[in-house]
Amino acid sequence: MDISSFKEVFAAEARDYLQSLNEDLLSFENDPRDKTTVDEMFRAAHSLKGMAGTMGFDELAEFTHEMESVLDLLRNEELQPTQDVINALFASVDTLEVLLEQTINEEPITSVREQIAMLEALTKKRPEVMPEPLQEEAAAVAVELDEFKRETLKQGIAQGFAGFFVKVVLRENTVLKSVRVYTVFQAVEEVATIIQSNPSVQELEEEEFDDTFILTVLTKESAERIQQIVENISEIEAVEVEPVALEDGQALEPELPKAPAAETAAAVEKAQPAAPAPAAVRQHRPEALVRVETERLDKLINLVGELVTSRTQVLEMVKVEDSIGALDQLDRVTTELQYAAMSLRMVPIKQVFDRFPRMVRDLAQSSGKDINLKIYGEMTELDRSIVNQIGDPLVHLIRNSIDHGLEPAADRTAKGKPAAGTITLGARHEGSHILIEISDDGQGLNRERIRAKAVEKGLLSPDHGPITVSEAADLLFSAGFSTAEQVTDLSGRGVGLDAVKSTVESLSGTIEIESEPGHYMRTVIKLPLTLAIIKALMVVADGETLAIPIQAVRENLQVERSQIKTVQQHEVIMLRNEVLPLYDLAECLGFKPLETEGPLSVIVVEIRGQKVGFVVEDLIGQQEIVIKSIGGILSDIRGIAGATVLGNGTIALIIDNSTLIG
Amino acid sequence: MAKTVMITDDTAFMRMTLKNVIEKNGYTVVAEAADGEEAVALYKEFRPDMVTMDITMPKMDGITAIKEIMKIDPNAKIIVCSAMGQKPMVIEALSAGAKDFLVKPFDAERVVESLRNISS
Repeated sequence: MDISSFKEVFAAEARDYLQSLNEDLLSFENDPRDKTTVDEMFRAAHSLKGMAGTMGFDELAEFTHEMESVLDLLRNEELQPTQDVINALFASVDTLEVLLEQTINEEPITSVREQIAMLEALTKKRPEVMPEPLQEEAAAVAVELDEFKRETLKQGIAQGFAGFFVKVVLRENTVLKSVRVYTVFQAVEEVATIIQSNPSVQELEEEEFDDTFILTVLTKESAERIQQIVENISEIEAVEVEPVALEDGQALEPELPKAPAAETAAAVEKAQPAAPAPAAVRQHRPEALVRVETERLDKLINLVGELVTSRTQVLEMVKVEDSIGALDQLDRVTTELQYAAMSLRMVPIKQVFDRFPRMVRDLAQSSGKDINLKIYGEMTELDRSIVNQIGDPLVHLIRNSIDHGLEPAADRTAKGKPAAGTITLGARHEGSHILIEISDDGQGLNRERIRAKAVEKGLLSPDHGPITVSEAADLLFSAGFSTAEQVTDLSGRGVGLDAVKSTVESLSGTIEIESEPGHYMRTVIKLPLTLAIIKALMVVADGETLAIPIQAVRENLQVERSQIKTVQQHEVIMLRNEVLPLYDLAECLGFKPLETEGPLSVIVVEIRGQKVGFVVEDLIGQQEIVIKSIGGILSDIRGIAGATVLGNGTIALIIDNSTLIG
Repeated sequence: MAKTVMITDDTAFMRMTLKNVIEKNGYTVVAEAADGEEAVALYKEFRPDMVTMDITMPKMDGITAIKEIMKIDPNAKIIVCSAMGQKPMVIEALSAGAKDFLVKPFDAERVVESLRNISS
């Protein structure tokens, strides 16, 4: 079996585990008493270790092993979850991420000796908790058993066996601990069946334990006999045998009612630690998912796109009156297929949002600010290609909020604000768009500082008066503008919001800032749901067929020439008491302007919140088009977003209305 | 009556040290073997209550000797003696029937503990 063919699966699953480790760490930091989280993390690390080991990725396996050891100590409450420990775990997850990517990409592996040493230090320096006087913790022998093990125990009982926890403490300086454990196993197995061992057999074999281990056994012998057998093994410091009690209070020891009731009750409590609060019950992977290479998905979607084009072609060729049931059927099925295919591209924005709790946490720590991150709408779906690209802009905006927006706690309290700042990150659908909001309750846009900076950068003339919020926002988005007084780790590297803006615009989106100085700043990014297939209004200008994305189109009008007025040397029309500037679409694109008599076809398009009328030669109608990039040297033409192949095989340019007029 | 012990080790020095510890603690050393073959032959002859068995020896190694002795006497009480780093061999010896193990360099108390434990 060639294991390398599983690499993709391994990589995807390993990344999932890392993500859940990150999430669990965050919730663990908030509530270090929550045992479920630690268990979850331990399992994640353990699974990762096993997976990496199977793949032969030794560095990964070794590192996860160290991490697992630390988590195990936390799990067994032998290590206190101090901030140091938690930070070390966060750092470890980061290291793992690096290791994983290097391993997968077959890049040289960076040495992680230091990080390993850090983890090892944690596992060693903890105070000795275990070998305390044994009598006092008589009931602490119990360990947690999973469903399967409990069932095994129950069935054993039914057959007349007794269940015991056998706690064995090895002498402190035992040599070849694992072999000593082996002799214990050997001796116990002569008279009992070992159901479970804590730590696991593997950990015992690797001597990944202190001096103590607990066996859960089924036997027909008495507790005393088991005790005696183990005591007769060399190098055993202490042995303790306790009856197993399950959560229903039923002691699994019919023949030996020797344990006092109180003790049994205590054992019951231990055996099912922390009946987890309902909120803590997690659904790790609620749905059955199939992992598919994105390439295959893209191919499918492309083919569906072609099919949509062909359908349009067929429908065009057949006259409407000839259209029979079969064609209606074709039309309907292709439409449904198209939506189904598009939905494959849709992924919840959670994929991007998930990284922010961790990032905000880290930034809060390094900046010394107290920050609450509120997230809503993370299940909102949008096109995968958009999700992939929107991450960086969001990182940038959130960093800006933390760095420039939120004030230090002292300043906030002085202003009567809560000491902890709040950053809200959310997403919601609005028509065929998705709105992503990033807001903070910090100091808002500092217009004076922005103005001063703009003057310094030569973006404003020195005698320019106070600026409005929207002017300030425009300045922020212009190239090379950064108000950070010193370059920090967080932001202010000079690649400012203009990079954010251009990314958003390349996704056919818009970005807007609202702010009330002193109170809040909110950035709203508006993106189309998908980039692959759009509805467009087909028009003709100078004989060319053009596609205008329908989202921007508000209405079509027939305008008599007499209705055209001139304001400030520009042609306008009045529409329901609004003044709309009028442009000739052909002229905007550098084609020959329209020269006809009679009424004009005008398309009303909304550009940056402003309605604009475009005169076109003819109106064809609405159509779904597959966007193809023009690519190469033609990719940056003003006013053109791409092209599409029409039903009749000709090519139509797609209008990019946001850059159409200057 | 004092329990009887057979010492198996290819070095005279080790046999001597062990014998010293064992006899001081009230056991009788009835035989000393320098290799596995000798150990098997002497076991047949003396039927000692307990055996200490080195692993690395000429002619027949300790593990084979343990297997042979267990064939002769399934109740034989053998303590396997190893150096550090012989973990797999110790495990093999234990699964072949050795009842306990000692790791060199020997600690007198450990030797006695082991004898006491396996004879009980």
